[in-house]
Amino acid sequence: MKDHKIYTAVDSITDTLQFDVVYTSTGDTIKVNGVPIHPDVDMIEMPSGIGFKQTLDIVEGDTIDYVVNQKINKKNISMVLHFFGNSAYQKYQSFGSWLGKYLDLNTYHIRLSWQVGSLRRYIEVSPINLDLVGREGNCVSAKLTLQPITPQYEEYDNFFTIIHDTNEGKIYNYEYPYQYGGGAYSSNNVITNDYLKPLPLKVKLLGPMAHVYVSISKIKEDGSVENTPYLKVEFASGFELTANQEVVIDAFNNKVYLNTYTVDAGGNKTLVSTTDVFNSVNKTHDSFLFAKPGNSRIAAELDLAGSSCIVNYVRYMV
Amino acid sequence: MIENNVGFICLYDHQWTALGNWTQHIAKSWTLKRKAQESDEFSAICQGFENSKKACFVGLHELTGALKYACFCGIPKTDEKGFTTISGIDCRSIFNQTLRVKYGSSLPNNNMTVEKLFQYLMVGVFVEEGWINYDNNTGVITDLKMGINYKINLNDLSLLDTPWNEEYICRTDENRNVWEELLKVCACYDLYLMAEVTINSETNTPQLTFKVHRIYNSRNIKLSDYNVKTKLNQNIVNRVNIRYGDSHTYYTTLYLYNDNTIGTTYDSSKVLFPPVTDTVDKETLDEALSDAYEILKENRFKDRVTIDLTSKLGSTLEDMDFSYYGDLVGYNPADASSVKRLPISGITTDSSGKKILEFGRLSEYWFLD
Repeated sequence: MKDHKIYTAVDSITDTLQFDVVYTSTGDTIKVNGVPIHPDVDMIEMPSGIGFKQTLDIVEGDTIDYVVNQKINKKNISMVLHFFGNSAYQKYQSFGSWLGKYLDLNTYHIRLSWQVGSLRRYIEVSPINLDLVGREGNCVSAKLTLQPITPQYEEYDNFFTIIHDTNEGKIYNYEYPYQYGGGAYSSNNVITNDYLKPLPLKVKLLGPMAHVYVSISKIKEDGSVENTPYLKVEFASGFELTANQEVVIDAFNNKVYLNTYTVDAGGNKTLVSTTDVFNSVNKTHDSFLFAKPGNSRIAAELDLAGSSCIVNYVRYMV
Repeated sequence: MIENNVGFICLYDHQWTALGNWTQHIAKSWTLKRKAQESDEFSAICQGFENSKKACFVGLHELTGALKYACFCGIPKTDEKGFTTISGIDCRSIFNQTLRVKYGSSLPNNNMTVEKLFQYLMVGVFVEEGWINYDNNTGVITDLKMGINYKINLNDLSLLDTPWNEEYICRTDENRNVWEELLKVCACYDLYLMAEVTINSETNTPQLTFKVHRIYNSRNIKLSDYNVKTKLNQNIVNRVNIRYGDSHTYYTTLYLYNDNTIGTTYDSSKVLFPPVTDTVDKETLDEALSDAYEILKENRFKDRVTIDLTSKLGSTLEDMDFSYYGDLVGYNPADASSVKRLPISGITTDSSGKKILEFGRLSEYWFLD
């Protein structure tokens, strides 16, 4: 007698499907009273398009084929929404209004997420079609189609901070053999990119900083760091940061800007101005940083006490 | 570095300061056709500029910030949907001026070189008009009336092993179109002139530089390996009779040979068929000779072969630029061994990833010639 395995439908992602909203410029989740905002939907069913699609340009040979281009395509996601009860149409309308409120992509990105096991996976989307199907008994249904604007990712706001280090002793770095003195970095300034394409990075350099410079280098298979960074952003001489200033190099939104703050007696920072500083970027180098697939190390010039570098990135995956 | 064709657009004023509250605007689409012998064609649609006043240059940047291409921006138009459309104008158009060109009195009679001729056409003519000032010691060009600062780079000409040929130009002082004169000299010495934007490290600003390059590389290309379109043209003047003086004295006949050289000897294995003859008849022999050479030099490579690099084995030609001749094997499909040498004359790229190489100098509007 054959040994049949019995599979029980114990895991389901439809129960975990959820919408929220992030700010386009910062990636921060919009919250009310500390709680992320969600629209009300009683039930979501039959999601499709959650997966990936790849396009390969192939030259066919007699024996093997040659791949000349490879691209991960984004697929539209569609699902059926159900609203229950006597006021189901009203719920449907509220849901539509909620989407409409956050349609402006310059300000907001709506996110769809679902959970498998303990991990929640996100994708930023733009609703392109909400189609009312109608009422059947107690239930009003609508079909929603979403166009992805990012790949899927598991955690937003992966970030690390590199700080000024006054340690005078011997500090082992990724770069063999070692490096002396201040300006060495904590060991977490490493980005692992498992995605097929380069990841955009958002880098904040917080003053005081006399030489505003940040670079990204390849970490080789043996753990050593390549001597020459593959991308670097440097500001022209004369461009310095005071203690209450920060430069943001945002490859997500293609902006390089300077934030200036005032700090009150209680240490609270208030943003005073935001200025585009693209003209001050040393144009012999790069203006934005992207992390290539594999492991990369970020380095910034943090010679002055109080300076730091915060790197935000998203771990995209197929 | 980033392997895609998404980019952003910046508008710059004439001193290369990026304009706008936010200076970078993601390009929705762009198309660039660079040409060796004609003006480049560039157009882009990007996120709307709130204000494009004072815009002089447009820069197409890669996502990492590297400047991929720059040209004059014309008048950007922002539509009601909030997109700005930019149709660029090739920076080399600043040479498209009809001015007094004094080949007779301004060029040296001895030790004349191709480099000196380019120096004169790209700088000397404008100095004589009072448009720019040129410091012989530093090589710095100062704008007086031109409105644009630029540099020239003639370093590649020091490697030119072709001696100056006095027959190629007529040493008279006349009103001439400077761009056409530059093209004529390029055709005579297998050169091309490009506008490039380099970064001035002292001022941290882009710097417009006009550089003359040699066409000196070659590569064998088996046409059957690629997705190819060809336009052959047999209807070109390939012989020129030279006459001069009041009595129209016959001097000689110049032949364009099938190896793209020019000579005075009839050689049935080299001359082109069918014979298409023109006659130049000028007051002086100098004028007649330079005109005859101009006709035949410009008639070299009058075919067009386009190869789509996004299909078949196109990626193997990715590294080719205007410094290359393609030795096109199988040019005549009926004769697989036939080889035709054509220089690269156009490179088209766009935001969708399309890349097309164009060989030969047959104009897209050849039927109007």
